[in-house]
Amino acid sequence: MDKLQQSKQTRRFLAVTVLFTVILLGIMARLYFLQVIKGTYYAGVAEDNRLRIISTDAPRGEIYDRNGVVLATDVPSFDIVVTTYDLKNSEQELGVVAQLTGTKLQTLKDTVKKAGVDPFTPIPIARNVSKSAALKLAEQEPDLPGIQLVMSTKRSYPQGTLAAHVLGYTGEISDTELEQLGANGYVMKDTIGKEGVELQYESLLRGQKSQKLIEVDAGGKAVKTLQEKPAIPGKSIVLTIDARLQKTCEELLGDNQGAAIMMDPRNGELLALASAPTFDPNKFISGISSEDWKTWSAKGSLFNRAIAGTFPPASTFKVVTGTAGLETRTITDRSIIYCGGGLTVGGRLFKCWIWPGAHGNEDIYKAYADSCDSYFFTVARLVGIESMDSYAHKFGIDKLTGIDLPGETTGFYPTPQWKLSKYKESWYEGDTMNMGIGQGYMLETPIRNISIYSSIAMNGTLWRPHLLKTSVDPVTKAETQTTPVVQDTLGISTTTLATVKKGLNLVSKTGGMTRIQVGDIEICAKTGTAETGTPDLYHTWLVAFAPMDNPQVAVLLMFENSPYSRSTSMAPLVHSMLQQYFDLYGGQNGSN
Amino acid sequence: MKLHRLPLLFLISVLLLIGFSLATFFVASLAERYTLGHFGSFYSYFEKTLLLLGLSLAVGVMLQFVNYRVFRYLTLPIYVVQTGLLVTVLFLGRGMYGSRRWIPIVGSFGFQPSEVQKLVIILVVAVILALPQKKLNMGLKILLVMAAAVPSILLVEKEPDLGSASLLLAISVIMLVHFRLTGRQLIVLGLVVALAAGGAWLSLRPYQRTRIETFLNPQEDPLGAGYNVIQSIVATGSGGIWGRGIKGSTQGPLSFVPVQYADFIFSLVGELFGFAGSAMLVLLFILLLWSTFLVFRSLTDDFARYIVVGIGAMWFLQAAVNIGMTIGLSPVTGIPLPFISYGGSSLLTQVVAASIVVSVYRTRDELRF
Repeated sequence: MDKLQQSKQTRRFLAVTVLFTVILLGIMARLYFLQVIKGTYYAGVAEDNRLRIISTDAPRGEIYDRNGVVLATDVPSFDIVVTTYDLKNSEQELGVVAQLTGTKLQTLKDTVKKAGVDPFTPIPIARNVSKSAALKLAEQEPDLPGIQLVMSTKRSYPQGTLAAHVLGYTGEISDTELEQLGANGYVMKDTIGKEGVELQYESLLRGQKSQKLIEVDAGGKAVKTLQEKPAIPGKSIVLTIDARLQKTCEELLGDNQGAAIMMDPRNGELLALASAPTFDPNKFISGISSEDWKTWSAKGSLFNRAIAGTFPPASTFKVVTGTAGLETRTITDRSIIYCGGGLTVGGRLFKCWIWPGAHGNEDIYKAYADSCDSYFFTVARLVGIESMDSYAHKFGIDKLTGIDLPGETTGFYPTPQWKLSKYKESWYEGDTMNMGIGQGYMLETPIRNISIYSSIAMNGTLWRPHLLKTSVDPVTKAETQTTPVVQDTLGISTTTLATVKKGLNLVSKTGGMTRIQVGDIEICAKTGTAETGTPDLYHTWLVAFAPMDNPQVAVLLMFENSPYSRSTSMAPLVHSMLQQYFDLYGGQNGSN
Repeated sequence: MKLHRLPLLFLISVLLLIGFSLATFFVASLAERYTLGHFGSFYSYFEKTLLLLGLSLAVGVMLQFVNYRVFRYLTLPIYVVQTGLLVTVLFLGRGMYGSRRWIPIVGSFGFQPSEVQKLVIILVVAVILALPQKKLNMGLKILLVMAAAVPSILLVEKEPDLGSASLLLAISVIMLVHFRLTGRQLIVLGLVVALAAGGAWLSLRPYQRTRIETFLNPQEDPLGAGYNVIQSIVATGSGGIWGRGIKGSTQGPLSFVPVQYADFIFSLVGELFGFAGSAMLVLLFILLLWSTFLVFRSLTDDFARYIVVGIGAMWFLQAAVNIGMTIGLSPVTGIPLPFISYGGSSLLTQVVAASIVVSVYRTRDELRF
C-alpha cells in the first residue's frame, strides 16, 4: 500500500481516536453526575438497600372487668404472607390463597402492589385465617414457594356479646387511618381498635412492635443484626364494668331495643353500660360475613344507644322543670297547682296523662309521685322558655358527658330562635309547656339522662362517667388509676335538690313503682313515657338512684319502642338491677 | 530485546489496567471480609485472576518470540478450529439462563470461544484486507470479509450472545470502513449492515427485547428486568467522590449488583473508589486508545495496521458498551470490560491482543522518509 494511502489511514485513525475519546469523556461526565452530584442520594439508596427492619407485632393489652374477668384478649392465629421475590407463578399461588380465604384474587394482588416494599419483605395478605384454611394451606405450602403461613395472634372476646358496645372491636387498619396514623408507626394490615374501648384506648392497648435492624444481602438473607428492640406488650386495662351487672342489664334488655346503665354517682364509674340489640365482636375479627352485616345493619345492632341514641326524655325531664321552678322562685315546695285533667292554653287543650281523670290539688312532691303533667305544664309556662332553656343547658342536655367512649352525641333542647329558623314559626306557650314534660322537640341520650340524676344525687356535682379504672404496665406491673374528674357543677341550691329528691323518693313509694323497692333502702326514681308518633307505642324510661341520702348507685333502663305501654311496668326490672347491686356491694360503704 | 523497540506508553497503560483489576478484586475482598466477617467470593476471584494472569502473560511473552507475520499463515487454521469450537459450544456449552457460552474444562474453569473469536476475526479480516491488490480486487475483498465474519456472527448469536455477536459485526465493519472504500462501496456496505441489523431485530428473543426496552426505561420494571441496571447505578453512584472504601462498601459485598465480578465490575470500581477511581479507569482506557494510535502511526505494514485497527476498535467498543451499561447509557449485554472483568477467556484474549500489538511494534519496519 502506498504511503499516501497510509497517511490518509493514519488521519482517519486519528479522527476515530478523537471521536472515541470524546465518547469516553462523555461517559466521564455521566460518572461525574452520578457520583459527585447525586452521590449522596445514591449512598442513601444503598443504605436502604442493605438495611431492613423486621418487626413483629406486640401482644395487645388485655381488657378486664373490675373484678378481673377477661373481656378481651389475644389468642394464637394464622396469617398468610407473601414474599414476591419467591413467587414462581404469582397468578396461581395467589389464586390458591384467594380460594382458601374466600378473597378476590384482584384484592390480594392490589394488597401486594400497595405494600410497595422490596421483593424480599414478606407482605401479610390475609390475617386470622380459619383453622381449616390454614391446614389446607399448610398441605399445599411446598408447592407455593412465595406463600407462607405464619403464627400470629388475633383478638378474642371470651364473653361473646357481653359489653360488646363498651369493648368495641379491632380490625385491619384502613387506608384513611393509615394516612392519619402512619407517623405513629402503623403499617398496612396492622390491627387497630375500631370501636369502643378498643378504639378509645388504642394508645394504651397497642404495644410496641419488636424491631430488628438487620443487614441483608441481595437475596434478603440476614447477614448481621445491627440493632434489636424487643416487643413491648400493650398495657392491660381494667374497666369499671362489673361483668355480673352488665350481664343482668343485657338480659333485662333482651331482644328489645334500648339501653341500660349503672353508674357510681360518687365518681362516675360505669358499672354497666348496655345497648340492645347487640352483636358479637368476635365476628369482626376473622372478617364479618355479609349475612351478619345485613342483619346487624337492619337492626341497628352496632349502634350504641346508651351514648349515641337520642330520645325524648319525657317525664324524666320533670326534675329539670321542677328545679327551674324552685330556683327561679316561681314555685315553692308548698305551692299548690290544681290538675283538672289538663289545661287549655291558647284555645288548645293540653292533657295530663290521667285525662279524662284528674289529679286535683298537687304540690311538687305529689306532682312527682303522680308524674302530673298539668303541674309541670304550669311550672314551665310560668318559668318561661328563657329560664327553661337556661336550666336545660345547666343540666347539660346540649353538652357531652365526656364519657370515654367514641361516638357520644349530645341531646337537644329547643329555643325560640331555633324554631323560627327551622320551621319559620314563632314560639308558642304550648311549646314551653311541652318542653316542661320533656316532649316536643326535646332529645336526650341515656348517658346524659343518668348523669342528670347522678348530679342531683350528688347535690349538684357531676362526676365524669368513665369506663377506664386502671391501666397496668405489662413489664413493671405498675398500675395507673383513673382519677375521677368533676365534669360539671350545677350550682343549684341544696334545698332545691333536697325537694326534688324528696319528690323522687315519693315516686318509688307510689302505685306500681313500689315494686322497685330493695329492702328498706330509700330509692329515688322517675319514669318517663315518650310518644313515638305511633299510637300505643312509646319509649319508656326509668331512672333511679339509691340510697337517697348516701347515693351509691344510679341506674337507668330505657326501651325504644317499648314492649310496655306504662313505664312503671319497668319497676321490677330496675328492682333486680338495684337488688343485685346491693347484694354485691351493699355491705360495703362504697363500690370498689 | 531492545528497550527502545518496546511501545512503552502502550505497555504502561495495559499494565496499569491489569493492576487496576487486581487492586479492585483485592479491595473488594477486604470489603467483603469486613461486611461478612470472612473472605468470600471476591477473594477467590482475586486468586483466580492472579493465576489466569500468570498464564495469559506467559502466552503473551511467548508470542514475542514469534514474528507476528506468521499469523498470515496461522490465521486460517486457527479460524477453522475456532469456528469448530463455536459449533461445539452450541452442543456442549454451559451458561446462565439457558444460554450456551462456555465449554467446561476443569471445575469452574471453562473456555468461552466467542471471546477468542473476536481476536480471530480481527486477524482474518486483516489477512484478507492485506492481500496484495493484484490478487484480489476491493469488491472481492469485501465479499470475502463478509464470508469469513458472518458465520461466526451467526454462531455466536445462536448461543445466544447478542452482545458478542454485535461486537464481532461492529469490529468487522470498523475495519472495513477503515479500508479504503469508495463512496459507492460505503453505500453498499451500509445497506448490507442495515439489512443485517433489521434481520437481527426481527429475530430478537423475548429477553433480548426486554433488555433493550429496559435500557430505554429501567424504572418501568424496577424489580424485574430493570433491577440489575438500577442496582448497578446505585452502587456506582453511592461511591461519591472518593468511594466508600473497605468499611462502607456494601452493594458489592452483599451482592446487590448481579455478576459484579464480571459484566458489572465497573459499578464495583465506582462503589469502592468513587469518581476518583472510576474517572481514572476511564482515563486509562483513553490512554490505551491513544497509545494504540501511536503504535499504529509508526507502522508501515498493512497487515499490521489492520490488526491494530481491529484491536483498538475492540477495546474501545467493549469499554464504552460495558461502562455505558453499568451507568444506564447502553443496554445490558454480556460484554466484559477489557483487562478488568473477571474471566479467563476474556483476560487471555486481551493479553494476547496486547502482546500482538507489542509484537507488531517491535518487529515493525522502521519508517524511512
